[in-house]
Parts: sequence; structure tokens; C-alpha cells
Amino acid sequence: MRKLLIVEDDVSIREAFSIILRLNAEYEVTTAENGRVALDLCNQNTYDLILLDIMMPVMDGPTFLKEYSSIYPVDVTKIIIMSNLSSGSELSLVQDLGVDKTVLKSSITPERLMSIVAEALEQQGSTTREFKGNRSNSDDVGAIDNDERSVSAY
Amino acid sequence: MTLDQREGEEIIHQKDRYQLLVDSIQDYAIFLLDTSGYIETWNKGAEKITGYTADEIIGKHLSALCPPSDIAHGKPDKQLLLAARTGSTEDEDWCVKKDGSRFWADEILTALFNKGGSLIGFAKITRDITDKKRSKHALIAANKLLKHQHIELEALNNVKDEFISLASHQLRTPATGIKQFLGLLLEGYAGNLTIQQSAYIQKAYESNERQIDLVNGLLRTAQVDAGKVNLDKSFVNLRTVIDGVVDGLRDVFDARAQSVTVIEKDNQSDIYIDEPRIRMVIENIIDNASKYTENGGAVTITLSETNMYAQVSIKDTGVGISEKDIKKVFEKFNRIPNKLSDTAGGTGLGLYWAKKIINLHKGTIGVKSAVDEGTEFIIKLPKGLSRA
Repeated sequence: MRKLLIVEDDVSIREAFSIILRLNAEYEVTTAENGRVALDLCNQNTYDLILLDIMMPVMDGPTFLKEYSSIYPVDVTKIIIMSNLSSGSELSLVQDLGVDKTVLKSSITPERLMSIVAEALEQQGSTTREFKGNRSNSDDVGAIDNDERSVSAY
Repeated sequence: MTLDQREGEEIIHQKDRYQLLVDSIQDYAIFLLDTSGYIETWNKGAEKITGYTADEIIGKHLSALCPPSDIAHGKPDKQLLLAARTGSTEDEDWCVKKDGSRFWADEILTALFNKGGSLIGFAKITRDITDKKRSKHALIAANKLLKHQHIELEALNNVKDEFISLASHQLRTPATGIKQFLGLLLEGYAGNLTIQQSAYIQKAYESNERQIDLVNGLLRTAQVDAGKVNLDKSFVNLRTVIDGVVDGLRDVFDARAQSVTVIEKDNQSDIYIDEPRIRMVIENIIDNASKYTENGGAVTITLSETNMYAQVSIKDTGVGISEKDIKKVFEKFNRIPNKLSDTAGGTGLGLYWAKKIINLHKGTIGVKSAVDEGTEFIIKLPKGLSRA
């Protein structure tokens, strides 16, 4: 059983991602609507993977990440940034805080989301996360998602 | 006539001529002052400029023409003293007319000496340069206003770019929700769909994808307009890029029964470019080539090279662009109406962005076309640093 935490302020996206990931019986999915709620949840549970939005009220992605990584060991939980920002300072803020991947939300399909999560969880334990700018994959902001020819990530 | 008489007449003749000279000049006040500064003569110019007639002003002191502030500072007398000492003074200052109004004057005061070297009076020449001063001030003010407006416009432009960026990012949010839920439906995760249900949802899904494309296009354009694009360059083979794009568009071409041919005239060396962006540029143009060509048409892509540049030509057998429309091809939001433009779709931003990206690479893009004779886009990209 893998524990997943979805941190996202938009209710439709939060529900959609939750439904999609719950299709996998192996995943126990929890949601939080902002960084503060997420932090409270992390104080009570350990998650295998956190899908983290950047722009959120109350406490945004970068702030959550800063607080989180100052309390918890870095290797235990995989963190995937899910954002609709295509460039800019907010994104660069999180790179230095050791995220595994950055995904452009508006460019992925449900299947793609499932495979991204599966990939990240597979790598768990076998690779340690590097702290500086570990962006090695095609769903990175700035790349074209192969499943969606028409949608580009700039 | 005796010699003396002739000389006498000569002198009178000269005097008359000088009198005529002084009298005739209407744009300069030319008059004599005695050693204390009292006005002794007056010319037409002086009357025209100041409004005083000769009868009214002769015998009055020079200070009658000076503004009160000057008189309080003892100006006219100081000037007379200075002129007597140095020979002449030139000054720009306010002078007062008969009606009390002011004019800006260019004044030259010259001390007059007799053969013995004693001061016998002064000659004053005054010109009204109020208009000149006004023009100068107007120019300075206009310049200041322009500078100010420029700053404001730049600020406004930045605000515009930031607004487009913010709005576009926010527009992605509902589109994301739609994409996920329609995707779930289409993939059968909420049960089987009838053919009609599937078809309707597919249309909604595609419509949403177009919206996402629009937003992405807006964002790209805002980014490039704001000068915020940092090219991410690496060594890439254009042939590989083209092949990738053509493969990706295979379905599009097949659906229109169009043929695509790639010709490599010269062996392409790797060039130093921002691969994802150039790929998008090329994809945009090849996609356009298909869109604006009827079914059964052909698109030919030719690669060539010179010492410094790699060149791609994308030629179609499509509807072409008229001479008058061709100049607007790279403009923002430009969508040229033609036989196929209703079915073509698109934002009118693609070529604008493409040109900017190519220019950022220090490359060029050009177009050749005629109505019903197809269109050819030619892209030249500098090869960049030489590969070791």
C-alpha cells in the first residue's frame, strides 16, 4: 500500500487527480487544499509521494517545501511538482529544494499521470534525490509531452 | 561744384544713407543714448517692437524699457557702466513695451567714443526674440513630456505582459480539470459509452485542447515580447528534428492524403540551437503547410547548408498568399482569409512567435508565395559554435 498526498487548491483538479490515482488499488490517496493543511497531515503521517501544486493560498508550494524539508529527511518521500506555471521564479524556487520532477498539469492525460506516479514510486529507495536542480525527464516544464502533440509546455 | 561742396554733399549723402538704413530696419530697435542713458534717437524698428513713438520716448531714460525688478537691481546703469568700460555688452533679458507687456530681448549696447577717446554716448540694438524663446521652451517641454510618456508606455507594456502571463496561467486551471474528467470518460473509467456519447465527449475534449493551445500560444508570445526567453541551446541535427516532426504529423498528412517529402541536399552538420523551441517553430510551419493545402497536395522539406548557416525550406502546393497579404504574414494575430482559413483554426500567433525565436537565434525566416501557387517558408539558422 503506497500513501499518496495530493496538495492542490483547485477543487476540480484535486478531485480529478484523486479519482485517477484511486483507480490503482495499491494507492491510498489523501488530499490537502494548501500547504498548511499538507504540513499538518505530514506531521501525522508519512507519505511515499507528494504531488505538490505551486500557487496556493494560505501556504504555497515553495513555502511548504521549505518547511517540510527542514523537518523531514529528504530521501523518504518523493515530491512531484504539479504546476501550470511554465516559467519563472516560483519554479526555480523549488528546484533547489530537491524535487524529483516538475509536471505541467495542463499537458498530461490521466494515463500519463498514472505512469508518472508509478515511475516515481518505482524509483523509491533505489535512488537518492539530489538536491540541486534534479530535472531529468520529459514532463518537465519546458518540454513537449509526447502524448499530447498539440499541447506544448511553454 | 567745388571740392568742398562735393565733399559736403558726399557727407550729407552718406548720412542720408545711414539714416535710411537705420530707419528702414523694422525688426531691430536701433537707437542712440546719451552718456547718462537717455534716449536720443528712435527708429521704426524700435517703435514696432516697443510700441513707443519717437515723440513719446525721446528724452526718457533707458530704464523706461526695463522691468521693475531690473531697475531695482540697478541694471540699466550697471550695463551702461560695463559697456563704457569694455566697449559693448550683449544680454538676453525681459524688456517692457509701452502697454506694459513684456518681450524677451536680445540686446547689444555699444559705447561710442569720440576721436579723443571720450565717451559721447551709446548705441543700442535690441531684437525681440520672444518667439524663439517660446519655441525653445515648447521644445524642452515637449521633450520632457515625450520622455515621461515613454517611461509610462514601457511600464504599461510590462504590466500588459505580466497580465497576459497571469491570466494565461490561471486559465490553465479549469482547462486542466476538464481535460482530466473528459479523459477519464473517454477511456471508459466511468463505464462504457455509447458511440454518440463518446463522439460528443471527444468533441468537447478537442475543444478544450484548442483552448489549452490558445493559452500556451498567448503565454509563449507574452514571454517572448517581454524579452524573457532564455534560449536553451545544444547541438542538434536538423534532419533529426525534421524527421521527428514529420513522424508526429503523419496522421495529419494521412487524413488529408497529402504527401510529405524530406530532401537533404547537403549533409547536415549538428547546429547549436534551442531544440524544443526550434522544433515547435518547424512543427508550426509544417502543420500550416498541411492546413493550407487541399487534400491530395504535397509538402516538400528541403535541407541545405552553407559554411555558416543551415537552411530549411518548407514548400507546399496549397492556396498561397497574395502579394498584399504576404507582408503581414509574421504579424501578431494575423490570420489571412483564404479558401481554407475557416477550417484551419489557429491563433494567429504562431508565425509571430516563430520569427521572434528565429531572430533570437540570429537567424532569418522568409516567405515566397502567390495565390494558388503554394507557399515556401525558408529558415536560415546560424550553425553556432563549431563542434570540437
